[in-house]
Amino acid sequence: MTQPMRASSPGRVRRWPPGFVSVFGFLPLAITLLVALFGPWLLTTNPNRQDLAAAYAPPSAAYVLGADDLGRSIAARLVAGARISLGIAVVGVLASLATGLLLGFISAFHGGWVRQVVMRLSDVILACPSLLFVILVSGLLGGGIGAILFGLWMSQWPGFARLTAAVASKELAADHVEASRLLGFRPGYIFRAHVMPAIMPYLTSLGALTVGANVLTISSVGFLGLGLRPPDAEWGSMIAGTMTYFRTSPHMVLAPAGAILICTLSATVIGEYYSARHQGIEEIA
Amino acid sequence: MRRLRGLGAVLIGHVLAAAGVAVAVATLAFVAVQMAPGDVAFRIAEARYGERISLQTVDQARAATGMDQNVMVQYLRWVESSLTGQLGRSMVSGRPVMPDVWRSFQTTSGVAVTGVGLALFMSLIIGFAVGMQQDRILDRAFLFASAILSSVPSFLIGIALITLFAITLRWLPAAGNNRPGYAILPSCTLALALLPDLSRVARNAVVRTLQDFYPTYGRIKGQSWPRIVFRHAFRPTLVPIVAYFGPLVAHTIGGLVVIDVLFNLDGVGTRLIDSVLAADIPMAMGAGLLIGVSVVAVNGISDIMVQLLDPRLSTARLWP
Amino acid sequence: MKSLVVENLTIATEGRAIVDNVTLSVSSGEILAILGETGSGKSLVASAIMGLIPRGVSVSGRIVVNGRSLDAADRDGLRSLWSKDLFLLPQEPLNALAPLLRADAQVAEQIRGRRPRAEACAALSAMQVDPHHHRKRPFELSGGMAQRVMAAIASVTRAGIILADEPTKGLDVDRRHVVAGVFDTLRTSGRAILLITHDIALVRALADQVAFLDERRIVENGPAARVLASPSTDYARRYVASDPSCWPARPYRRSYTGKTVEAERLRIGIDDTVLADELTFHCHAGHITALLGRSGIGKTTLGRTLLGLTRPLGGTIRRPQAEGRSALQKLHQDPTRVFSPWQAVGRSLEDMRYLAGGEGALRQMPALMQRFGLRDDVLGRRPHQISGGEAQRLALARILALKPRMLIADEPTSRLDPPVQEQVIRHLRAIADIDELAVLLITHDLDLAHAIADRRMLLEAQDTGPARLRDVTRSPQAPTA
Repeated sequence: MTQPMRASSPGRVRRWPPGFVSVFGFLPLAITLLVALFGPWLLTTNPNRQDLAAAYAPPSAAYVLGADDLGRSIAARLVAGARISLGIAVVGVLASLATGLLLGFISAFHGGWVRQVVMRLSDVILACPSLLFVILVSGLLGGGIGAILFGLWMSQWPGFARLTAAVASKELAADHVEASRLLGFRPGYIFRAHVMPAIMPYLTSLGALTVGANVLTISSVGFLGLGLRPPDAEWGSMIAGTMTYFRTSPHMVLAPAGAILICTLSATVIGEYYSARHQGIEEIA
Repeated sequence: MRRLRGLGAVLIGHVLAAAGVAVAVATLAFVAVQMAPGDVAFRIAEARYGERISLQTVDQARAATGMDQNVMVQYLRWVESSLTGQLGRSMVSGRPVMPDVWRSFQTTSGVAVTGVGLALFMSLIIGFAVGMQQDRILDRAFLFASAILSSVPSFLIGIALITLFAITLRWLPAAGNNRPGYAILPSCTLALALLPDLSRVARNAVVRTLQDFYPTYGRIKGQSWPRIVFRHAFRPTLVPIVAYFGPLVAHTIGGLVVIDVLFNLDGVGTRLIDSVLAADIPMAMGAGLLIGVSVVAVNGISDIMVQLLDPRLSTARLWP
Repeated sequence: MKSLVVENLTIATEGRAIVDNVTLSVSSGEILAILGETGSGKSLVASAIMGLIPRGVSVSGRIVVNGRSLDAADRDGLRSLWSKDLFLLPQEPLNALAPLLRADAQVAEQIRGRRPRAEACAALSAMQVDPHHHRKRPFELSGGMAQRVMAAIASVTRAGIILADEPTKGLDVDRRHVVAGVFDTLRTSGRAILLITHDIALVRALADQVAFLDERRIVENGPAARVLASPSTDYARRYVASDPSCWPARPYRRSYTGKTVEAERLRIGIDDTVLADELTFHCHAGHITALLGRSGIGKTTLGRTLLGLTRPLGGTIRRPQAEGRSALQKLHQDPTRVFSPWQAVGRSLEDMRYLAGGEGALRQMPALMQRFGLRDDVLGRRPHQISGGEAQRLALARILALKPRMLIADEPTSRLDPPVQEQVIRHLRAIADIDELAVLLITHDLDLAHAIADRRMLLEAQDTGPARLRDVTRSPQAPTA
């Protein structure tokens, strides 16, 4: 009503049809997460068992998604790989989120040199791709799950810290915080009732988008052969090992590729959904 | 005048940042050396003297690289060598680092400039075409398509392109950087990997501009739509796109590492991975230094361009 | 002949009228002011005339522009008159100017003459934009200056009818004369002007005709001189009476009550920039002290320094002791922003139980809400869902429940419509008189200060150095703010 002249700007229209986010976002990601958590106990076939007679086998009743060049069940390897590909992605985001939230809020609350140090450090780290971090840390520590996790954490907490600091300092300067401070509310209450609700949608959005990005990074690391030691299954390394047979037995590449695509896409859909509900991350950070 | 001084400050800031990168690379490498298992002097001697290795040659290598002095002096030497770019010889090949790294850098930058240029060109066209139709069918289709494309890892894009153009159609070489046309497929892979995010930034910039009141008000003032788009709104729209160059260069490097390996190019990415895996520290430092300095350079260019485009913005960055 | 006639304009959405059967007309060389509160539908009238009502909202009635009669629903027909007959001066000119184009270029692109640049400069000068501002971009201009550039653009178009929607919104009260000057110049050039505003002082200064819009329809209209002097309807009478310039001035009395706050040789500023120095004053319990001064001089900073939110750069402040919280509280300019936006306001009130002495304060709330005329159903709503007047009264109730000794009210009514402003001001007076709080009222509005304050202090700029404070309580001559 205050700006009726703006009639031509349509406001925020719902971008996806109803139910879209559930079907293409939460559902596939939840299923994959459950598989990552409980999958290994459900497996009937050992993902590393080689059956050379079944090598290159297309999808069939025995091998639901076919077998790879060494005759290992692709379905079983996908399930085993979900732990690393999606599991590390999610754990990495949770760790970065916690660190970023803490450092971001401290730098917003304290300001001054603390903020300067955290923000400049973030600038430097954010200028490098997380893939580079993971490669360097893997090189230094000699690879393995821990190295990947550490590299992801190191490269990603600054994004969350910047976002938190930006939103929190905006809220801390707002009238409602000033009023509450004058009335005598403690910092803990102000954080809980005034600042957290403002940060949450942004963090959810960035967190989901980062899960998607991490799945891609982890698969790239696997593809480059830096991640794990063979024969452990990981979606990216599954593609690296079979890409030469793409023309003759496409299922060996398409199955892990599909898994990567589904995880990343559903995480992206969720992230976009949350970022469409507020201003959009790009205007804050 | 004030503006020039502002630009000068930005320039100085970025020169300092480049020096900071050199120091950071030296520090990282130094930590790596200290943490590395075994005696590094032994490995350097091995690389240099091959079979003729002895305790004497190891000590010689130790003295030559200053590793017999105390830790602080050693560290300062590392920093000095990093700042001056005199990184010595590779531990693996025994050849001077800089010429090799520089040659890889030329290969990489050829691919990078072509790929980024291609992506930028397409993104501007797509961004304007789609952004003007916000929330219409075309826009939604674009958003969905870009979400899918951005979910595909870059190596899969590369594999698809190789399978189609190199193996099936046999139009272009699949790997290596000796045959003519070798850069086409890597550049296209890079462009396709960058396209979804970049075109989305362009689209959002257009949408954002059109949400402002002044384009609507331009119509009320009786101005024609093309005049509003090109004379009033074009420059403000370019600002977020140029400001995105920082994250763009980070994405590009991430993509290039994978592309180098996939297409078997002798690029900076391959150099970096090979040297990290082989613990070839001077070579890793060289690759890291070039990558870091190019990141700083692109960020600097982007900052200066943003300020020239929109004097409202001081040194503040729009993007993290 | 009338330049613009609106006949039986009705705007309805979902079967509910939001503008009901409005009829009005303006001649050239005349200003018609539409006065009304937020939500009365007054801005929609301008939108309808410009053809800017979104599709899907039903519009009916006729709009006659320079003798050409159009259906009010004919958006395309109305839009084709943009800049030829109709011109709109927007609420916030800084958002409407192209952001990176220089002022003279923005005027020149409207001119189809042989020497557009020279004509543009002449038009800008006619609106009293100094030549050294001609080459500036919008972000280098002040709000008042941007208003003049906008008017220069209007003056070079052929449009004979100018609509202005809340031209003083977002401008300081002391910039009002700029707006008045601009519209006067446009009127002299023979244009018909429709002025939509809630600002009764602006209307007093400018309007030839006045129409009051209340609850979607026009309740009274006629020549400004008659309607403003002797309104015939209740609503108009109340609206006119709510203007502080009509209130009797408060007589001077010596004060015998105790001093709540004392400041001595106080120096204030932000970071290291000194804004004002040598401030020595005190506030008495039960008194309203008005702090006057032009915008940007440091009034808000002085308030924040007293509250302890900004560190003083020198001097001493003596405040009353209190446990657990400040004995000084603040009433903000935008009352809808003082409650956490993420929860219902009732929840924010209940959260007072986390405070020292909060349980007792909570028990006071029902009585206080009754005193300020607040009903319980506001408690279930979020801050953005309640009106400014309700929010300001709720904020007052919350503060009073905690028994402070002093209230610092920073422009507490400048965002409120005049009748609501009057109500809040009366409550403030009662807080000083009944609850014996000291009140520091930070305001631009000299009339308001004269009407309710016991003391008046003026923060004024010096020729050199930081600003100083002067007591103007007994100055017979009204100091220029």
